[in-house]
Amino acid sequence: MEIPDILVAILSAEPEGIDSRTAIQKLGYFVSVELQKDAGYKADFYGPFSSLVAAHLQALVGLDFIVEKKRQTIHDRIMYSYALTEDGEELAQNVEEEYPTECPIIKEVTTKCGKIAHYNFRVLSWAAKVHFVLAQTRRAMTDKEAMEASRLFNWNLSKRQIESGARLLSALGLIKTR
Amino acid sequence: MLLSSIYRSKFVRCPLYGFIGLSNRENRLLNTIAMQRLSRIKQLAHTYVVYPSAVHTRFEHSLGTLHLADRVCDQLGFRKRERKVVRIAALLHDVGQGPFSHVWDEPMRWINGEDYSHEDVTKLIIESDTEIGRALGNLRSKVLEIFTEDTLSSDVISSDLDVDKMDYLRRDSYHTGVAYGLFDLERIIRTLGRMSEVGRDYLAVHEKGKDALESYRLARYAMHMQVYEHHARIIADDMFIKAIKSALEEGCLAKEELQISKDQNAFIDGFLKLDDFSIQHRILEGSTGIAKELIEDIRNRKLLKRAFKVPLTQRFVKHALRRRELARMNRNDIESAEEKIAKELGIDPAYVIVHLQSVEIKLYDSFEQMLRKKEKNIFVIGANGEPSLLDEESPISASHDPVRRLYVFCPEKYKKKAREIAEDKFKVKSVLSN
Repeated sequence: MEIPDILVAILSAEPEGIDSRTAIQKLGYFVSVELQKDAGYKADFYGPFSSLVAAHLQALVGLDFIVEKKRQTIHDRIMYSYALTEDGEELAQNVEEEYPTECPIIKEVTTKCGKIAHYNFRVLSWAAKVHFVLAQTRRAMTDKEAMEASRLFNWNLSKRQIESGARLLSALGLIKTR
Repeated sequence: MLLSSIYRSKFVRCPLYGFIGLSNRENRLLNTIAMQRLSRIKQLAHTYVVYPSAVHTRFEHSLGTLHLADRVCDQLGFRKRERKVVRIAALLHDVGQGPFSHVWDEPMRWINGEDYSHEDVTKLIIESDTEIGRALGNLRSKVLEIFTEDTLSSDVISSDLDVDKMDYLRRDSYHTGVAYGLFDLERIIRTLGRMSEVGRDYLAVHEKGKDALESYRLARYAMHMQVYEHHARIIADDMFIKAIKSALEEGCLAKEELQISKDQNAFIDGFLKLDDFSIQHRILEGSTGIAKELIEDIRNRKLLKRAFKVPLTQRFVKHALRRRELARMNRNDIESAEEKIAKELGIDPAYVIVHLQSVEIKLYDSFEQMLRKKEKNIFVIGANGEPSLLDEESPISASHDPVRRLYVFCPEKYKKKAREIAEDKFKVKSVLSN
């Protein structure tokens, strides 16, 4: 399954659209973990980031499969949101037929992130960072150990952020907590 | 800003920046075979077929990049030693470029794999070339770290807001005469800062520089649309690539010469003999077939013509799955299409080019370049000291710009027939009526 297909499947799971490129990046990360697909994620300021995902997202906008809208937030910042166009929905149906095993997984990951984290890019980032740290260090950790380990990736995760991230990861079935 | 006395050993004049001061070591590096070779490699490959003054070379661009690197080091408060290393890295950053710059990357990828980048050769030359090594002395490993490590210093040389881009945008604008490439360089440099996070500093721009930053991104977009993606330049570059392919098939160019992995010292020796002039000469003297014809055609500006063009948007390719299929064409699909069209025209496939154009996405490099390298975000520091990603906040977005265009190029007299064949093959109508 290619990255454009994954992006289309993610947005197909949320017909209202998803705010923020960072949020879509993190959803792509969780999906790539679930599908065990290398999507080119590397440690970056807001957590694991993939230039492949960024490139394909913009390409899908340019190809008129995804519509990109912007709005001003109450903090006078610009927020981008992404949703499938009609053609994107047609493509999504095709992707679903082509990948009958993967698409339900993508839908589940996406809708859970919506229900639990409301697609909040900060919460998704904390969760992605926690997972990345655990995946890279390959061992179980306490909150304190995770805080220390996150510094290896130039992240400064607080206890609260780790707990929030771990809750989401647990709901996604990506980690176990004791 | 007063230049330190060690950088006053030699001055080189630059049309953009006045005088560029160099240290003794930098002057020695400048006079190595590897650096002098860059004066025989055009910065913009075959763009001169559209903009005749676009004949500036990688050599002066490398000097310009060094100059801007020094300005940025000064702004960021780099210590002397780090500044020294960053300046040298800026000077050497393009030493691994092949003939006709980025065009050479394509044949190198055929031989060395899709992950190949000219930076691989740059690192190899810095690591292994004797002359460069002598000039670098004990700084060699530090300079190499700039290209291998992920630090603030490496961001200065390679990131979404690096000195390489800042120089080439202005330089290319100057030499082509296309004014859109001018942006507020001084404002950007003056508002650059560091953002410290755990264990790492990041390049950031103060909020006051945000508008200048947007002008920089628009400049990149405009230069791509007007200059880098001009169809005549694409045609000439693609004809050159076809000539290299034919030269490899004919044997006047050996696959081993492009292969990094075998004997690295032999590879560097051979690579440093390749430049725009020598490769054309090799083919003109060594080829008895199509490779020679193509090079002669480029030199005499007898270029292939646009027979077919379609932007891959909903407006021009209404069928969604068809659009996706076209956007996804890989090299094999493209070669297969070229062969089919050529066969129906009754001509050699070397004279048919199917080109899936990647248009600059405003936020980033072109689609293909993004797929090949790690993209680094630009941070903006707000008035309250809080960082945000420019990417998340910029009013410049990708919407409504065609990211991909599909072209077919062929000799002039076959244009009409080639268009009909392409329309039948791709099942879309060309926007060109010929």
